[in-house]
Amino acid sequence: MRYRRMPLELRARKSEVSACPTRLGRRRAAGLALVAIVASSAGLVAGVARGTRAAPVAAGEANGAGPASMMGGAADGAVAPRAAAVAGAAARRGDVARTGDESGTRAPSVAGLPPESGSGQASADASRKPRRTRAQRLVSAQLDAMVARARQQVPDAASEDAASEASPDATMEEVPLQSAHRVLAGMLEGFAGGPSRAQGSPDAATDRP
Amino acid sequence: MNIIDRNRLGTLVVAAAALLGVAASPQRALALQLDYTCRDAANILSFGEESLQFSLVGETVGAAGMLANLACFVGDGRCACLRNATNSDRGESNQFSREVGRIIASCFGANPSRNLSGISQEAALNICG
Repeated sequence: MRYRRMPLELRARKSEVSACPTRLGRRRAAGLALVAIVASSAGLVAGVARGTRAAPVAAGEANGAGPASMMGGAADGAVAPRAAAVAGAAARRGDVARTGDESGTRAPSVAGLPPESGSGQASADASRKPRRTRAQRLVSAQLDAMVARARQQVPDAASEDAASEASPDATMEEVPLQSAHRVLAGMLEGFAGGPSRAQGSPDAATDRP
Repeated sequence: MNIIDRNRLGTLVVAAAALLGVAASPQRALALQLDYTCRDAANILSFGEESLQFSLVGETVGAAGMLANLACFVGDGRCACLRNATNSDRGESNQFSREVGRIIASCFGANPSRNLSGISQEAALNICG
């Protein structure tokens, strides 16, 4: 403790005790370098492991017969994580649309219903259950069932207001989907048509990866 | 005292190097996934799930839209045509998507490692050129 407060004194004592301070410095430097090398290699190994871990996960998530397998497996491993990301994003979107929040504490946003009624019912439902993990799962399952029921009731809803509020949202979701379907249909049509004059395009050589 | 300092310094070095290694390596791996290749696009169009096909549509339209933005920014005469190529209400959009499909079909054999963004931009220029 005394030395910590007086570093100058410590240095003086160190020079007294150690006959060769340069050798001590060399040892320290060698030790530090060794530690740095080991640590950086460990970090690199951990990073690489984290990077390559995505591929099998992607293969698992992309459904075997899906794109990960048909894209050539390990040879095209770069696509597999993206497939997983896309599949994960789609799954997340599905989850969000289905339940709103996985924790079950927030009310789900129902596409066809005004948010106020759903949230009030959800919070009331959530407040009835004890706050345990299993109970939260139960609540979330109940919310799922509730949302599914609500979605089924939206087209022939008794409330006119609910129906009038639901229709703009539905059209707003439908329009981009239809556009994407149209573009995809065109691409598939062109793809099925086979090779075209663009085969010998001069631009083709410029955008290699 | 010396030992304590050395240990503390060593711990710091270990932590810093581990952070560097963990933070730097995955970025390089992810950087390869940003653009589909022609082979990927052909496979997705042939056998892919709908979600992947929609991601293909997104990248295709996005790349063409970026070209349209650039053309409009520099005052190029093809600005309006390029904009219409990514506008789903116009006829150019259908032409554009067909052209993309045709180029993918052709480069699948000739140049499978070609980027989809380049294919998309070439298709847009083929229509508006």
